[in-house]
Amino acid sequence: MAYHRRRICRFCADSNLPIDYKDPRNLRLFTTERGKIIPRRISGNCAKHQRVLTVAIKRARGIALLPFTTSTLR
Amino acid sequence: MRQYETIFVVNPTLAEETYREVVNKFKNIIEKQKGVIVKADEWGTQRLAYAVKKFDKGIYVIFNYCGDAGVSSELERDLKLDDRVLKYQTVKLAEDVDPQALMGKEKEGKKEPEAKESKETPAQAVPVENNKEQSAQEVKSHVG
Repeated sequence: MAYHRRRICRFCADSNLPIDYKDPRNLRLFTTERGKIIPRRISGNCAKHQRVLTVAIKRARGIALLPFTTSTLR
Repeated sequence: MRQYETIFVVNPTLAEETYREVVNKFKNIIEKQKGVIVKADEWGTQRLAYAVKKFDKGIYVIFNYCGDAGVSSELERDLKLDDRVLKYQTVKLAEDVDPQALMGKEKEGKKEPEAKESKETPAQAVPVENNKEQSAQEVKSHVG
């Protein structure tokens, strides 16, 4: 996944876009292929939504919907 | 009453009957503690993001329910003791909710998508007509 430079916050642009820990497919867009959370300066999210997103990703990790890390990178 | 959401992963190698028994067991626990189940969702077998107790798959079950603080703690205690459950997590969604209102919303939510679509089409059509009229008026005023 290529890193895009800072853009506008997607969640501000489309207020209907939900941040839900039960939806790993969308959360995966905001993690690297190693499973790390993509920082705000790269994803372009606003502070408010990045905070919500971080909690959601961490919750998803807790229940095995998202990986903490991928130890074997092919 | 508080609204909670508990999500848990059940051993995928269980027989269908045993699985049903597990789900019903926890439903009963909520009801015994005077909790109200707003929504019970079963995702079926999903791949786990990492191995849990050496399983790489699991059956996800989600309960959305209302109750006092005792309900979630009792449910979590039983989830912990049951070795057919691989993982569980509870999230508090809201404080001071009315379960009846939530049940009503849940039913409305299912109908909503259709209603929205029918509303959108006329709403989109109206502004376009207005624009035409406005431009026509402008043209007239320019002529006048």
